[in-house]
This record gives sequence, structure tokens and C-alpha cells, in this order.
Amino acid sequence: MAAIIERVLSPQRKRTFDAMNLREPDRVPVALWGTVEGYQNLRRGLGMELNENPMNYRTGSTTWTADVSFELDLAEKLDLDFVRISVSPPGGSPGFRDIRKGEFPFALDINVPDDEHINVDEWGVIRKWTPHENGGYWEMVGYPLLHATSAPLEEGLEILKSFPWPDPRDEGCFHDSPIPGMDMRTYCKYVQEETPFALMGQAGRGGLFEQAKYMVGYAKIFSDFIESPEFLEELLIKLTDLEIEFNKAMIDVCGEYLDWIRMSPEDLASEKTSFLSLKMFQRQLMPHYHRAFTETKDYFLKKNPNGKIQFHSCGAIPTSFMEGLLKGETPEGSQCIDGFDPVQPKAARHSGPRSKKIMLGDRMFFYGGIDVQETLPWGSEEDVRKEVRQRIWELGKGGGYLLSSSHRLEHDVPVENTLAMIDEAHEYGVYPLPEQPPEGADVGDDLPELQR
Amino acid sequence: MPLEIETEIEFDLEDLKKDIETTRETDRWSDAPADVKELFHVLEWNIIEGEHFDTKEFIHEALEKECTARTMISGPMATGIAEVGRRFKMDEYFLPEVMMSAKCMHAALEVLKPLIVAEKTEDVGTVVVGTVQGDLHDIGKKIVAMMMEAAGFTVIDLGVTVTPDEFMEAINEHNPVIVGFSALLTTTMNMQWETLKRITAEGKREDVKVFVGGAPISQSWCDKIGADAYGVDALVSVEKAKACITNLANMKGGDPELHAALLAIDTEREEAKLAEAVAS
Repeated sequence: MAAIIERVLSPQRKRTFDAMNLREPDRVPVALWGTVEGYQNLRRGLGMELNENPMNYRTGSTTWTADVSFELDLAEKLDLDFVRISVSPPGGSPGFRDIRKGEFPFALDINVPDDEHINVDEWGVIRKWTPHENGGYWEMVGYPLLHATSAPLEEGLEILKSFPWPDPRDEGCFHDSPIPGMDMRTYCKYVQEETPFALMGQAGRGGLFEQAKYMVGYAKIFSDFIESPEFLEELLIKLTDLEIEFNKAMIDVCGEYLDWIRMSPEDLASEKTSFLSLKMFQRQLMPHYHRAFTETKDYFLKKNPNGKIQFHSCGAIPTSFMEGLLKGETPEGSQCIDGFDPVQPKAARHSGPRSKKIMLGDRMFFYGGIDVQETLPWGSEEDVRKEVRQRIWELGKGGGYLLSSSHRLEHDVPVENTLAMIDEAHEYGVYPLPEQPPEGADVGDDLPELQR
Repeated sequence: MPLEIETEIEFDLEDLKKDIETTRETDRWSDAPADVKELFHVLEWNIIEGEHFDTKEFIHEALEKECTARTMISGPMATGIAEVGRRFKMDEYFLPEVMMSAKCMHAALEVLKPLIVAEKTEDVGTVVVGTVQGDLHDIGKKIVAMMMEAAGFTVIDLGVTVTPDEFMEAINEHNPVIVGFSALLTTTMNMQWETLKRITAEGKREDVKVFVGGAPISQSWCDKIGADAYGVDALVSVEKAKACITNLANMKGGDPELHAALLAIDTEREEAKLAEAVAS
């Protein structure tokens, strides 16, 4: 039976699955991730047709609405191995409500300035279009639960209860896909049946700690861990319920066509260290993550028995945090997370790529790793190639590495650098990998010692 | 139903007393009267522990005992927040703990800020500060501004993402002794250089002494762009600013001798620290 399945697997899928299952594939699988502008820049550079208006793109993440799914023709042209798909916001893309037209379903207890560049997302977070020279981001300017967290507990909990949360099962979530006119289920089926690419899905539209930050504001959330733990706990319970429900809804729609699921991104660390102490993380956040991961995975495995779960945190997320997260188990005893992205290479070395591989590489795969803070936008092609070789050597031994940029490709990444990244991965990433580390690679013999 | 959640930081009175006892032995506020000294210890530890609910009471109590706002800010509050900074750097404190301390500082400053303005007897000079264009971060700059104010300077705080034009306008209008550029990001620190170039181009370089500061900023960056001084922290910045209006008052901005004299302040501090360490 196994042999038959092997035969029908495309090389792209096979190497992706091998890498995810911690077996050495034929070569390191490669994919891309980017903002609308980064994506347009790439298509323009390759002489491919593109839609000039960024608002015409179906965007994955509402939170910044700058994400875009890379279309299949691009994956084909660049010989990529897998593609990503995200559900749309409830009500459909781009997920914003024009408050001036009364399009938001409830009155916000926040003073919203009269500015045409201001919108409200599905969570009630007020965002302002903040342009840079080649595009922009929807930056947060107002937090819907800021008052609730400062109010007396009973009152705050009452606001939480009556808050109009987004509906994960809203039809608008699944209406469209990167192929115009095609709904999400049909698209996922199409990718599985008609293309060679593996497929990653993302349903979560906010996350737990991450969305909590957006709901109460960055300045308040951190002191809430000490000052308002009861409110924070209730908020996290609610956000976990929603995260699970968003994922279950996507699994119901197209779970059988997804190879793995990326949970809502959670940023738990700065480049130097974690935002919270380990003790605070274990007591106040970890149980919620365990519930979100195990319930999602358990549900997913019923549709796709080989399904995997990937977790995201930027920054220098300490190994101890990851160890804690890995302790969660589904009722059947399967590990609650299988992969981690984006392995930010500029994070402190003790929590960087090599450290992650040495400490956790026997239990999880890694996705990302090629620096978008310096190398891709400003480095030379040779700098990019050098970094690709380093990262493959650091993360790729025994499989377990899916190569991509360490965050979204922005408009400022030269097309030549993106192509150099892919080309070098195709060339150097062929297994077996060389025993000798390439120039500049972190061998990391001292890292386990550093962790203590 | 209220939940039972243990939070990590529990305000342990016993610990606090012990901490106060330890610092009391160091005789930190030797020139203050005994009862004020006690208040200073408590205020300092309130800031370190981020216990901000009764800070204002301590401040009022100290004020009744005729402590000046300036003494409190440059005394226990400065040492308290410096300790918080040290703990953050050493991974003993994380953002929640720092936020609590910041709230405590904020509560204290709320009471003290109007007093500083009223307290100021002589105008020693004007300082213009701002976070450079493209950068929205200002906690560090605010602390520097506050300390400068406490030291007697008139501070014109231009806020965040200040363009070279806005700096020029302020220089022309207020005729400051010192202009301070702050930047938190590696992507914006270059604007310090650009702003400095603009000041030079407008022929104002000799009229002002240029200070730079911020997380990615270093003495070598200061040397590279030709600024007069780098302030590693707020206390150092104030010390250097004071030097600019006393013994270095006659030197012009951009003078290499001024640069060297201001750098010597760091060396002296380091030597003093070393001597202290050796002595203990």
C-alpha cells in the first residue's frame, strides 16, 4: 500500500513530506511568502502579468492585510514545492468595515478620528493605512478592549461576554481563493489533484497572545499579566475558543486537501529574548496554547491522518518555551505541534537556527530561515547564496527543513536575490548534504552548553 | 466567578524590607535627613518592584518633608529605574515587570512634573530634543528630557519622527545650547546623520552642541557622524549637558576639543567605577 502512495506522490510533495517527517528528502523543499508589493515586484521582474491595484488581491491575514497567496503559475515558474492558502476574513476580503458608513456591527467605545485612511477590522481593532514609499501597512491605532481591561473585573468580564466576536463559520471566509471565481474548497482540491504542490492552510485570523495584544494594546497587555490576570485569562479562553473554531471550520471545508496547518502567528519574543519570563509563560499562556494545538490537531487528523501543525513566533523564542509547547499531546498521544516558523536568523544566537536544530530538531521541522532584515533586501546575490548554504547545513541534516524567507518578502527585495535564494537551495540543498560546514555556518558545538 | 490565578510577581513585604535594609547599609542618600532617607529607600524599591499604587503617597510625604522634585527624580527614581534597566538587561526582568516599573515612574512624574517647572530658579540654557524622522519611539528620550528639566534646563521636546526641517526651525526659534537626537532603530539612526548634515549646511553647527542617543547608538557612531557627545544613559547625558554650560561653555559645537572633553567624562566615570569596585 505504501508503495502505491509513494508512486502517486509528486516529487514536490514527496520532498515536502519527507522533510516534515524528519527524513532526508532528495533536496530541501522551497517556497515563498510575501506582501502584495513584494509579490507584485517579483512578478514584474519575471515579466509575468500582474494586477496593479493591491486592494484587488485576496489577502490572507487581516491583521495587516499585506499578505498574499503566491499564485500557482509563479510556483510553477520558480519550481517551488509547496504553496500557502489562508481563509478570508468573515464577510470576505479585505475584511475591513468602513465605520463612517456604519458598516461595523457594534458601537465602539473609542474615539475614532474622522480620517478616510482609518478602518476597523473584524475584531474591532482600529487600523490606519500607513504608507511607505512602495506600499504600506495597516497599523493599529485603537484597541477595542483597552477600557474593558482597565475597568473593574466584573464589568470587564461583562464586556467580554457581550463583545461581538467574529464568526469563524461565516461563509465569506471560504468564498474565494487565489484563482478568481474559485472558492477555497475547490481551490484546495484543485491544488491536490491537478498540481504537484503540497499545500499549507491557515485559518486562524488572530491568535491567542497575539490577538490579545491587538485587543487591549501593546502597552497594556504586558502589565495585565501582573495587574489583571483574571481578565487576561478570560480573554485568552475566548480567543483560544475562536482560534480552535476558525481551524475546525477550515478543516470542515477543505481539511482533506490540506497537508498541514499553520496556527495563527504568535510573537512571543524580541530578537534578544522572550517578552515574558518562562514561569509567567508556563502559568498564563502555555495551557491555552496546548488546548488550541491539541484540539486543532486532533480534529485535523480525523480528516488527514498525516496532517501536521506548524507554530509561528518571530524573535528569539527560548528553547525552554518550545520544550513546554511540545509537551502538549492529542488524545491519541501525538505531539501537538510538528513544525516551527520562521526561525529568524537575526535572533540571538542561543535561540537562533542552529540552536533550534540541535535542541529540538529530533522532534520538529523548521520553516523559513533566510534573513529578510538584511541579506535578502540589501545583500548581494552571493551574500544570499552564502546564507542559503549556511542555513541548509545548519537546519537540514536528517531532513526537517523547509526553506523560505524568514518573513514576508517585501517590495525592497531585488528579484535577483529571490531567484538566487531559490537557485542555491536547488543546487546546494541536494541530499546527502556535505559533512563539512560551508563558510560562516554556525556549527554550534557550544550551544547546548550555552542553553544551560 | 473570579479566577484563581497566581501571578509571578507577588509583592512580598518581607523581601522588600530586606532589600531596603540592604540599600540602607550602603548609605546611598547620605546627605538627606534620616526620615527622608527612609522615604527614598521605599520610593526606589517601589519603582524596582513596580508597586505603583501608593507611589504618589510617598511622593507627597517626601514633598511635605521639603524634598525637592529634582532631588527625587535624580535620586531614588533614577537609581530605581536604572536597577530595573539592569535587571532587564540581565534577563531577570521581562516586559511585564518593566511595564509595572514604568507605571510607577509615570505616577511619580505626574506629581513631580509641574513642580519641576515651578521649582526652576535659574534658566541655565535650552535643550532641543526629538526622535529623528521615521522613528516613533520616545520612552528613552522622555526620560532624558525629564532629567534635563530637573537639572534646570529649559527643554523643548519636539516629539517623535521629527524632520530635519523641524529641528532647524526649533534651533532658529529657541537658540538652544544643545540639540539631542534620539533613535531606536537601525533603519532610522542614519537620520541623525542627515539631520546633523542639515544643521551644518545651514551654518548652525558651531552654535549648537549635538548629542546623540538611543539603543543602536554608540560612541563610535557619534564619532563617525561628527556629533559632539553620546549619552549612554540619561544620567550621563545630563552630566555632559551640565559640562556644556559650565567649564565647556566657551567651546563651539563641532570643535574636536569639545568632543574630547565630553568623551573624557565617560572615561572619568569608568575610572571612578573601577576604583569603587577595587575599594569594595
